[in-house]
Amino acid sequence: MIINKIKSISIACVATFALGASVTSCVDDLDVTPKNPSNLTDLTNGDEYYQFLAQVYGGLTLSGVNGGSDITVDDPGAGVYTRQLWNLQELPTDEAFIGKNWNDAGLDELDYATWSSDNHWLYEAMSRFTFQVNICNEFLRKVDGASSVENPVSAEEIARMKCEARTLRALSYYHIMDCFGVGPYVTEDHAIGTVPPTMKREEMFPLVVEDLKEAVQGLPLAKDQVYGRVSREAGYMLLAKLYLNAEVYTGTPMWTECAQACQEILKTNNTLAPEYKYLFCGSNDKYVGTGEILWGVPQDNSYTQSYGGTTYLGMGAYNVSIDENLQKRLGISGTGWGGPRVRPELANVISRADKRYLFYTEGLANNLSNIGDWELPGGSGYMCIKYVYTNESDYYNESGAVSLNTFNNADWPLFRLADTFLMLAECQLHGVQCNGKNYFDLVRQRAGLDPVDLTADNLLDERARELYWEGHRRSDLIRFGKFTGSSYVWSWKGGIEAGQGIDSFRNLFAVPTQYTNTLGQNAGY
Amino acid sequence: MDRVTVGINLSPKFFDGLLSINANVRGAYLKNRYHKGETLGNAVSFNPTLPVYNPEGNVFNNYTTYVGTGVAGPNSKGDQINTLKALNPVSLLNDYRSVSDVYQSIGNIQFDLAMPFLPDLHANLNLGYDISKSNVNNNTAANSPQAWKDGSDLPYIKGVGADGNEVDMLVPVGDIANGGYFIKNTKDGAGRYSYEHQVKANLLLDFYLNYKHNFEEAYSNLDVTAGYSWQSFRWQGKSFSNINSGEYEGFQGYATSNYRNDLALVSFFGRVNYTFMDKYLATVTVRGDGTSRFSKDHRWGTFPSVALGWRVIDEDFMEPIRNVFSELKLRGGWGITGQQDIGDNYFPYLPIYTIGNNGNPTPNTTAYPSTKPGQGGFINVIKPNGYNSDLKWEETTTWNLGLDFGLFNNRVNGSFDFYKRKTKDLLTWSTVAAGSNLTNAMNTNIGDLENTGIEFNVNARPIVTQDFTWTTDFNISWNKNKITKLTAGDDPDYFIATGGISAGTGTNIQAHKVGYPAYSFYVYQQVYDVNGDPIEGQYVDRNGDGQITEADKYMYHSRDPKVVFTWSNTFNYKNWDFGIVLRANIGNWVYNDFEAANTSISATQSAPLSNLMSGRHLFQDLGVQGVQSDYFVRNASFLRCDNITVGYTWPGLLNDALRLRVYGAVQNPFVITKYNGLDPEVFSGIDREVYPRPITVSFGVVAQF
Repeated sequence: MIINKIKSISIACVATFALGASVTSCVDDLDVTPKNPSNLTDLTNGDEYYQFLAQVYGGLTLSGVNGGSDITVDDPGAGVYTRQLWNLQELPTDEAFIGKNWNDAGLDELDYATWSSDNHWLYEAMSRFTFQVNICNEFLRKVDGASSVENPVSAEEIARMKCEARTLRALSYYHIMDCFGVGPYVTEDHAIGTVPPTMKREEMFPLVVEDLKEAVQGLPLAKDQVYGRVSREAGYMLLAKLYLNAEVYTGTPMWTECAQACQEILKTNNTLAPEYKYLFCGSNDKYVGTGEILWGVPQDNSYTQSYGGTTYLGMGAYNVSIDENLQKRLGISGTGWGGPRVRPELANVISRADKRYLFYTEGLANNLSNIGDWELPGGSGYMCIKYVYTNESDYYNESGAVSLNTFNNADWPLFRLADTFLMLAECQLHGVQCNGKNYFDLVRQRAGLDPVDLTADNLLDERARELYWEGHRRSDLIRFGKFTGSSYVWSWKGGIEAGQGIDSFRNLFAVPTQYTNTLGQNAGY
Repeated sequence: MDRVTVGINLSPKFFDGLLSINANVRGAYLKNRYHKGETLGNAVSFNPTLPVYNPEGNVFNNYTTYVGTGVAGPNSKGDQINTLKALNPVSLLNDYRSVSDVYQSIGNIQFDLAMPFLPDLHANLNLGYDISKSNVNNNTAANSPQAWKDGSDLPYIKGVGADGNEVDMLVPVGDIANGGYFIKNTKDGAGRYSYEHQVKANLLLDFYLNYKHNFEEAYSNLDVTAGYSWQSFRWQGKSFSNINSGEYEGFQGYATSNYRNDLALVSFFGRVNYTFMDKYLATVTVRGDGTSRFSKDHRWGTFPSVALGWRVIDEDFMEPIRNVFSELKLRGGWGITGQQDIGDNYFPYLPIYTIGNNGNPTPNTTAYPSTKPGQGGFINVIKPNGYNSDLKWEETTTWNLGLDFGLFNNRVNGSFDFYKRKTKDLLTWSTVAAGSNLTNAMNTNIGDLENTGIEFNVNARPIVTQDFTWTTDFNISWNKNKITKLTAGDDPDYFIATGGISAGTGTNIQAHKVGYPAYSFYVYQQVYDVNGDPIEGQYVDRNGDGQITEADKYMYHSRDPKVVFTWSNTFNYKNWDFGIVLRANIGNWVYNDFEAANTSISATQSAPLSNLMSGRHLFQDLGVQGVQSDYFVRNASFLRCDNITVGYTWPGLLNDALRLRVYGAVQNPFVITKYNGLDPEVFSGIDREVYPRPITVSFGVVAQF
């Protein structure tokens, strides 16, 4: 009995001791660290900083890492940056239309230019743009660490990387200013989790331009730059784009600055590619960088699979129900998505003799009377076959040897030299002596057309012919005063087939409801 | 489904009973077969007038399949399958096989030691584990419509490199220099096999001291407990797939994915129960809970509670009515509880990078051209994720007041409760301010919520005779909730959209807004014609600005029932027994998502004939606004019979050696509701399920020797 008691007491003592020891250890147990093999808490190798930079760029073309989405969206594929941007810049214009055969909520509001602030495409676009800004900011916060890790990155390379991240950030601010007119202005100096200041675009514009001007100086020329990274020429093109629209954004035109930025590009890159259609085919990366595509957003059918960009406009614009045989010719695997169609106004502005007439028309009506089923017979709206999967060497896949793919290899032509040429023409039109008429003629010449007078109307039409479906149209129409109002109407503008005027407040999209608590709402909504 | 379970229980006592140990270990094996989740959706969408098999024979294992603009014939090619239309549902059942094997072991050992120097003091130690391993094997048959639809992505295969080690290689077809190409996506109808492996390991340690003593001279009973608990959870797994037929048999289609998640919870707790004269009862508790989900600053929550009770019936002044009341007790309480469970999010507070291809260096399909000078090829991206270092415990403060009663010698028992619950820092997934984080939506403490409710419960034996007894149990509760604060916006119009619907991606049908119940429907107000039919495209211009915009949407009912009751009855007549359980929800509204998505002609082009839903109003084209009409928000109040049982018992067969009962039971025999969807009981309030609750009929024999 006594022995038992002693035993019990010692057990109790041991238990108490164990308790004391485990209490501390158990509290420390809350410091759980992630052990997921696909997670890192720190970057410890220079190569990992290159992978981080790849995400900063990849944000423009990928849905997300490991098949997910970078941002919370309903459909990761539809949430890709280039696709969001394209929808906003093209669907409300005279160039493109998505019919009721796609039942995605809110696309019709973009088609008709009748969106409201609860249109989820606006929410997703703003989310994508601000995500991209912040991924650049986070890179800028962290990249200095690359000099003091295993396999370090050199100081010069870090400096270049920073200029690239600032340029990418400016690109997204350009899109925020252009589409929404207001946004959060957030830089690497803001802490994650704090609400950044809200700025109207007239306030934001000078900050973005100043930062970009400085960053561009630190970008290497295209001939010295790694494929997939932004060159000085591309940086100047972005700057020129900002100046081009300065009057719309701030009320003060900057045509001289625009022409100067364009001239900077021409110092090293001044020749258009010989054949227009090859700029949009699977092997177009040969024109990216030093060639006509000043800024190409990479896509690859194996490794950089994008549901946006040239896949969206290749596979997405194709519909097997219209022509099964086209599948082989375009190099597309599958039935197509039957999405974006050509608005008749676009098809009408380009003559069939124009080398840029890349539409499939057989059996289709050149109108949008039937916006439901898009198949034969009775399909309305031409099919755009500008973006193809095939290569320049066998563009029509006549050999039949081209493998059919789900994803396009073609890089997304974000900025092209032909646009630079047309921008110079626009500067000329606004009184800047920059040989703009000559560049205007060069663009037409490649298309097989004779020179015409350089007038505002001719230029706006030429921009449609040259740059259609490349994500510029909405900004162009606004700059020429044709987007809102009723001086120019197109099919389904304002929600009726004949087209009707829309209010001028629609020159800006509505701030999505989810963000009005910090950003406020644009006038008119 | 197969199931095997073995278990052992041991309850030895040591040291004259001072130490008692209770140990048990259980092992289980479970085998399950699953159907593909989308089978039912396809069954609904697939044209029901088409035969299951195409009599002509076709490449899709003879299953009728949509190709191009029609249905596959004998000459159709597999890659012409129309991926926008429904797949043959019978093929989805027959040509897909998913089998899981789960091995699980659960064990715990409890030590209860009465202190020899103070027998009223007990030390308790409880150690437990729950470990399971599961393997899932999925097979998609070659040439099934599904196999043709999916194709196979072949980014690379395993090969042997120059150094003799295994490397990843692309599969070249032809000479790359002369127009050859790499295989990317093949649509050759090849079958596919995939494998998922998961391990779950949960560990538990509880230690507490308990002191219980009856201080007779002070008429007091004291019961004090203090202790702590520790829990650790781990989920780990991997998966891969490969092609198991055709030209590329054996090729790995997708990279192996690997994951691991960890969570730890620690609590300190104390409880004092005090009873005075058996009439006055008090319980005071306090616990400190820590979770690894939150940052060090927000990791711990302190959650106290106080409960008081008064057995009124034992007071002397109750003497006159004790012949009627056998029990009468008043209760009151106040307490705070905490919530940290945000599902599959383990480090929401921590800045973490995600590496492409699950950390495997081989570039996957979402890689980027190498940014490193001179390297070439592709590299996986590394992405910093959004995080919320301010994330903290959701705290709910509850006040309640209750009354327990018993009548007629406890033949009638019941209770009545009133409560008010205020939830602060509600944890949910929500959009964050533009530009404030590395994502657009994350786990956030969004605001405050208030619940008020009344509960009443009674059980009684109204009839007790020698041959016949009736036992009945009835409880009813009423609850009202409303959002009282949203952290992100002070604007009275501010709301948080939630509740995605299937009619067009991206549309939400519910919202949280201050002053309204959580998960209220946020909809347009439909205009109806004289016959009561909805007028297509016409909604009430609620703000009177001459146009219909989202500003005309309004808050309309919510998903949660206002009143819930359950009524169960058992009748015994001689050797017969009869039982019935009825349950009702009143005031639960449901958005008939399925109807909204399928009753417009324009929405049903990829799902032929599903628009022919009987008794439904057919729309031409609902558009964004139409699917958000309050027309589709329906009162789904219901009365459901959960089960009916009839039995007969032979109490003394074989000279009282055998007691035999034979019974028949029906689960879910009927539902009475006005709701026109398949089932009115939809927790989320968005009826997108097409799987009805089954009616189960069972018969049984119970023999007791």
